[in-house]
Amino acid sequence: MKMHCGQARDELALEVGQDLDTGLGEELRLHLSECPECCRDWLALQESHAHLQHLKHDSPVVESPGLWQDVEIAIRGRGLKPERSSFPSRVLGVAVGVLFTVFFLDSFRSPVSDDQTLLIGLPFEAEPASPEVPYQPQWPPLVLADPELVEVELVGWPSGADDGVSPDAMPEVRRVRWRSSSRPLALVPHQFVHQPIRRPGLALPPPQMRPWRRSSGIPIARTTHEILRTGVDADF
Amino acid sequence: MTEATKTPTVSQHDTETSLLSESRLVEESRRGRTTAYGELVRLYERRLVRVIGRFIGDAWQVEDLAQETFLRAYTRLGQFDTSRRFGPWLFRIGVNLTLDHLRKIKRRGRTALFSESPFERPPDPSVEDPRRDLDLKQEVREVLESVPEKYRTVLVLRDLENFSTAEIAGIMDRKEATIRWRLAEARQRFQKLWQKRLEQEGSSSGSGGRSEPLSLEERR
Repeated sequence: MKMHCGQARDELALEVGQDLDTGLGEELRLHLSECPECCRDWLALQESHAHLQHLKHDSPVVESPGLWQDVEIAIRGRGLKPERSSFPSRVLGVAVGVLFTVFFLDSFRSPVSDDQTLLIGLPFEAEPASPEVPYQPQWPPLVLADPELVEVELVGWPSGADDGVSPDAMPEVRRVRWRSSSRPLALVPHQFVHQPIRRPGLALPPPQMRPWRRSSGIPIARTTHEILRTGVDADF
Repeated sequence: MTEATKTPTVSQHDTETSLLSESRLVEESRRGRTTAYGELVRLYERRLVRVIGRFIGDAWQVEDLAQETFLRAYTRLGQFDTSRRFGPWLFRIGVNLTLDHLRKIKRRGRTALFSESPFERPPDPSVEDPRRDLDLKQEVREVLESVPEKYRTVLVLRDLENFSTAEIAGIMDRKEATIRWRLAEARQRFQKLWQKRLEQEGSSSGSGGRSEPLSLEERR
């Protein structure tokens, strides 16, 4: 394919300083032999480039002797130090460290045995209601004030109604506090949070799960609508 | 296998040795050994001063900028990739500092490139056309000064300082293809400006010192 004039002028500008790829030289010479316009441009480029070369050996300033002395004084005077590491690797390092710490601590969370677990479920209408308590969790039902103190709002039943509660009875709400150091109890907040809410006369909403929640080995309430208070003498 | 393929050439060997030596000096400088950095300064100070001097004529300013370049490079040694040459990285800092300095000067309303050159002769008011009194180099400088900055930088680094296009790409942090395109464009622009200057001179000498070309009515 023949070279056109626009391309030839770009190539000529490179050729004048011997910056053209060797493969293009032949093609360029062929174009020059056929194009007087580009020949004129070539001569003009050679002339201007030769004038520019006049400056090449004309060093405009005297070379600086002993610049290091001034640089060293400035380094010491300003107390300069070279940077240790570049920004992105530092940020990446911190991020990886934080993630690792979080997962490491999470994996060491102590599993809770069944007898230390308070399971709260909701009653189904079809099942007998003798030990069950209508439980309507509030949002948020648990407030984890600190690792030691667990505060929960529970819906109990009227005192003296241990043998069963009418589904329409208004539940009692009590605030119960445990200190895990004082009593062998462990509460798992996420087991309470998304329990379906039952209101009299309304169908049960579909259960909501938290798929991102990591299982801690605690059994989810198999029999809903029951409260198991094993190992805990909570004040209901 | 030929002898040439068995052993690296002298220039290759020198380059590798130089690269190793540079990276060793940089590593030692990072650890706070200023004498190692001193060796790097001595290695590059002449070239750096000359490159900055291509853009700025005042020797004092050139030295100040060169010193500032070395100080800035010293504090940023942590960002330097030791698998690469120290020179292009240093010259990038130096050229950027110099261009920033020129922009500041330009904003303040002073003329920039070469205008403070000690080689520049002041125009003689008694002469009718002062341009005739300027020597060829000064004319070339003036034409070069009128080339836009991004092209002028490439032109200076390639045609006056003999950096390869790959080295300029490293200094200016651009692809080599971009630098080659800019270089071609810069040479063409310089040629057109040079041609224009010659035409203006020709027309002014032909019309008794006029610098403006004749209008159509005057030609009639």
